[in-house]
Amino acid sequence: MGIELSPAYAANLAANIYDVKSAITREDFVDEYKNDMELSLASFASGVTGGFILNKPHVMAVFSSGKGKYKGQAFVVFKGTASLYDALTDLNTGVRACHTGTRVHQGFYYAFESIYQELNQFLRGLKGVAAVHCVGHSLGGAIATLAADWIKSTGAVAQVNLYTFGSPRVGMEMFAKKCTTRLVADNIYRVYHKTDPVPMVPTWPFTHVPTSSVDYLLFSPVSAIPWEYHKMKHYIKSAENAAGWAGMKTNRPKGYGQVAVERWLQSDGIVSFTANTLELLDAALLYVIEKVINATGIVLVAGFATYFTLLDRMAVFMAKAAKTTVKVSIWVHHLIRKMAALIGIVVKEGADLTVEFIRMVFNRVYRKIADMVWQAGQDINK
Amino acid sequence: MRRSIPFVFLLIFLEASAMSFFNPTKTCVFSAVKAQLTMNGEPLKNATVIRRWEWQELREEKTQTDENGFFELPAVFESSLSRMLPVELVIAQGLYVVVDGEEKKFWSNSKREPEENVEFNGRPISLVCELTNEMRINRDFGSRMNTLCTWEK
Repeated sequence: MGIELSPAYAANLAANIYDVKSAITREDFVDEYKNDMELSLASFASGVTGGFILNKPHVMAVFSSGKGKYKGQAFVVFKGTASLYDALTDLNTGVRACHTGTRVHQGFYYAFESIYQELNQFLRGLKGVAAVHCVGHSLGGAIATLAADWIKSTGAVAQVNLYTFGSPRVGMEMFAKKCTTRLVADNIYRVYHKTDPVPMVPTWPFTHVPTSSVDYLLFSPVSAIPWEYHKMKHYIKSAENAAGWAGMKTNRPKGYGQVAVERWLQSDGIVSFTANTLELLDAALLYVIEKVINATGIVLVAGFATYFTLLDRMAVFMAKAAKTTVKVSIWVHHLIRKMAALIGIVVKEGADLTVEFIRMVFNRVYRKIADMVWQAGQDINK
Repeated sequence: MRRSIPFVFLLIFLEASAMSFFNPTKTCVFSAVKAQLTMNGEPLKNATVIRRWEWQELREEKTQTDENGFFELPAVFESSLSRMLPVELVIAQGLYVVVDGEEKKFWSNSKREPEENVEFNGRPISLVCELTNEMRINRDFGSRMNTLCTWEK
């Protein structure tokens, strides 16, 4: 085990960063961390060596060298923001190649891009730092993920730890894989409550980091307020009650195997919307995409102009795949038929799957999933 | 970047509104305050007290202490559609007094819940503040409070 923040310290930091927004409480934040960070009120919104508080239209952050107990370490902490929320539930969003080359959610890309110069400047000024802790809650967690991935890619620091609480999914599978490899899964502390809906979006093909090993699932009850367990006060309580990271460590729920996915795709039973269906659909989609790519070489995202949305790309990809060999196209037909059934549309055997039709199915299924996720229905807690 | 409220949030909002008898966006941004200010043990008479808070915008109001250093301020409520989003509710609260022409902060808090009187776990804000005391961070009530005041335990 290398250098790491305790769960309670990381959770409190992810909550306290919200207080830098107002001048009323900003000095309280600086006061609370005066023994741990090289911060002062004079460092607000300027690139002072050691540490500074950054204020951009969509991103607020604290970048600071550690001191005292945290000497030789550094902090990169992001505040969540309301301004990106609509992007999370919109499959018409674009994807962009991030600063380390793989594709991520466009909204997060632009948020990170807006603070990239300052982060670069901060990183260049660091001396004798062995580890950087990147921390964030909610959308702050998504930006912290991009920051951690980029910092590690520079080679400037040997160890980069990522701590996220209720973070949405940041990038597509290749990003998640590369980021996990780069940071090393053990240095990624992705904490989420089972009934927090934010980590469930954006849905496929976005994937969480880390892709393997473990994450930190905390069981939480269903609440009348759908996003009650997204609040930092519950994450702090869970973190403080846990016996360290080891106490919080839960094996990632086992995914669905190939046999289960194939059986589900081939079945004719009634398809209803439950959390289990959502997980199966996620698994089935990735299963079919991988099957198509491996068999045909059709790629999901390359070769399109950037103005194509993810929805467009998925629809074109599936429509192309549906016209390939029977061995592959049959699974595309099964998938689209299953998805259409979810929205009450029956697809006949041998029907022509056009881009427009597939796009409509994806769009309507996605909307229905978004509804279900946000309503945090009773099924989620089963 | 668009700032519109997503459709799904609207649905949840409408559902929540139908189920409740109150306005779900109504938020207590500062509970009622009663306090006595002293300086070196003597009541601070006729001093200007400033109450500031910041949720969507920074706002403030002023009052005066009486002959015995007491002042009172009523609760303040605001509404915002941001309550329909799964964003952390954060309201910065501060109490300041003008002494010798300079503002001095004697109480601040990061309010994270919409209800009234959550600053002190359901009890009204009732403080005794000796201004020569040091500011100290207190977490007894969940959120971070920074104050030189004392209160009835």
